[in-house]
Amino acid sequence: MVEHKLLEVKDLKKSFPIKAGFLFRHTVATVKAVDGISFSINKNKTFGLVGESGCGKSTAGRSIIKLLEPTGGQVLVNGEDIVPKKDRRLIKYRREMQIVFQDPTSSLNPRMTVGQALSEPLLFHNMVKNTKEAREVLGELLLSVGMKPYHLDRYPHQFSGGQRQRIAIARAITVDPSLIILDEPTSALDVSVQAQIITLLKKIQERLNAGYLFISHDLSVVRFISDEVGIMYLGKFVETGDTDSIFDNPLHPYAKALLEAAPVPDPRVRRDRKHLISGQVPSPINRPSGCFFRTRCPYAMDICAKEYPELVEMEPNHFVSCHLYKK
Amino acid sequence: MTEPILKVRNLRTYFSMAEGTVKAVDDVSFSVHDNEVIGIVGETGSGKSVTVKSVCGLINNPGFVAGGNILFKTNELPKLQQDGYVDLTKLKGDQFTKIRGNHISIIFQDPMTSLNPIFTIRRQLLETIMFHQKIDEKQAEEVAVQMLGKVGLGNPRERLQNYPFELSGGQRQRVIIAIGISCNPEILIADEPTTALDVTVQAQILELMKDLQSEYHSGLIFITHDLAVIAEMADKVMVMYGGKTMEYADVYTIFEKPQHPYSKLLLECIPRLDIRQDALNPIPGQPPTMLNAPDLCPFLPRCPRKTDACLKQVPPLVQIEENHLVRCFNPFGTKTQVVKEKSADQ
Repeated sequence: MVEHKLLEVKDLKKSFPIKAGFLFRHTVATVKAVDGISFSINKNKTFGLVGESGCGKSTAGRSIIKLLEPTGGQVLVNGEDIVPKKDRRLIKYRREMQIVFQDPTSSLNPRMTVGQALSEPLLFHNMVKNTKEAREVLGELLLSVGMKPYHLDRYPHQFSGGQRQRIAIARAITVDPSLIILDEPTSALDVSVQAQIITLLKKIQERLNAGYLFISHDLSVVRFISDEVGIMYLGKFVETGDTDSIFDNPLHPYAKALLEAAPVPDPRVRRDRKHLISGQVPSPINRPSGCFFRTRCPYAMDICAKEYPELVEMEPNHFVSCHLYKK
Repeated sequence: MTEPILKVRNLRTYFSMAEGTVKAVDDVSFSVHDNEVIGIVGETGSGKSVTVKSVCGLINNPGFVAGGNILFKTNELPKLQQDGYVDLTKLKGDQFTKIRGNHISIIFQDPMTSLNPIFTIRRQLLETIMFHQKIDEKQAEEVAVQMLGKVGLGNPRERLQNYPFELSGGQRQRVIIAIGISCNPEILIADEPTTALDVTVQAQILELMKDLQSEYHSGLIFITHDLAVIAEMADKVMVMYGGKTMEYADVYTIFEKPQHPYSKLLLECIPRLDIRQDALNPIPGQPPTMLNAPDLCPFLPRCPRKTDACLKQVPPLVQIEENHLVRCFNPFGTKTQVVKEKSADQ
């Protein structure tokens, strides 16, 4: 029997139409938010999706669990493509895949107690018979995320930001998912609380043996938590592969600039930024021809304006998409 | 060493709420010299923004400055001067407008909300310049163009006609910095100026602020929750927690031999970009609630080094070395002796 990967994303695409007109709505342009990305996640492994705002990382995460309908490509969960599946036939996969959002204040319903919010997924997936049974399960669950069983009867506003994120994580793991999408789960938190949440996520991963898709703009956090990373720029991977290999030896000019731009908490490493890039990310509606990064790239050549570079494997499990690198 | 241009002494800023008093800033002391970057680092609610808002006289009801002094070296307001310093906590009404914007200016975190969306950049820049420098519109426009050029905006003359929505986040922050430095202030306060920006844009803005600071030799108070940004920018660092100064020293001391348990634990719990770590070392517990907080060390519930003395009173801010102040009964250094409370002006 062939051993399937937990998640395999092949050439995933998601574009949004931009409509104009009052009576006769017509599409004037499309934003290719995610434009053909491929990667896979194994059990107990974390794939980090990094990039600046607007690069399509959140759209990718949402398309994978079908909160957004992908425009193209395949999303294989344990070998089965879930892109064509609809409604009821998706329920089975919904239980396998959960998501934790950035802002726990807006992702928890303020009018539901923690107990109500957490028992919904259990009841929906028929994992418990009634609310009473759910409460027993949930008490244990809250303990495992560092909360107390009596917190079940409280409302979200009674907790701090870090505690709310613990509740959001608890909600995601109620149904024992095998894949968890973490969309900037620590960005809204303070430094000391961020470390608690990251440590908690690692602990839960070991227990559930789950695969994580960790979406973040914070490079230090991604380096810590990920086994593999993909660096996105305007909907495509510019560089992807093994975390240490990429962070220790970035190849793509954008990856170099991104890593050099991030400050390091050590006053003796004050940076002399050679690769500081100017300008900002171009509009995704009107991407440059050829390589999307060429307008900001210090090494842009003629060919860069003509064709988009293919991803090539320069080191074992280290791919880069740049005309500077040829196999 | 020269005299500091700003001396904040035992500043206390409270907010009286229906539920009780919030001691947002409770005994904070620091000073700023010419050509020096003071970094204030702390988590949400540690009082860093309220500290600098107090310095700018931007505390409104129900907040008030409950104690301490903010001494600013200036030639303005000669009647209120004492030894060349004016105590900003004593200013009333319009008196502050002589100082704020002109001698001390502040840049806020969110470039989306600190510009008025219905006025052009020109109008917002010229307003500040004409008000403080008492020059006519034509001259002011020249100053504005010059300032926008300094902050690295292309086509400054055309940019003047833009509305804020036509600019990106980084460009907006550049405009705000231009407004901030347009009157050549002695002290520029930057309250989380890069938090809302992407990392490549953040790097651009940090470089810009360093360049401008070395050009103008002004004092810069830089607030952030990001220790990496502090390490990059600051000469001296004040670590705040629960409204109090916990540790104050030069940037190398803070990062290499922090003495306060909070500073040390905070540094141990951040993920690093430059090295592979196997585990983080999180600080257990939650940041303190500030409402009706007990008169004890705010870090006490989370502190691994608490002693009996900690349960009785707030530790004083003591000088343990030259230019190194720590508020702790049981700091990490061994040769600690509790000497009498010293001020932070050296």
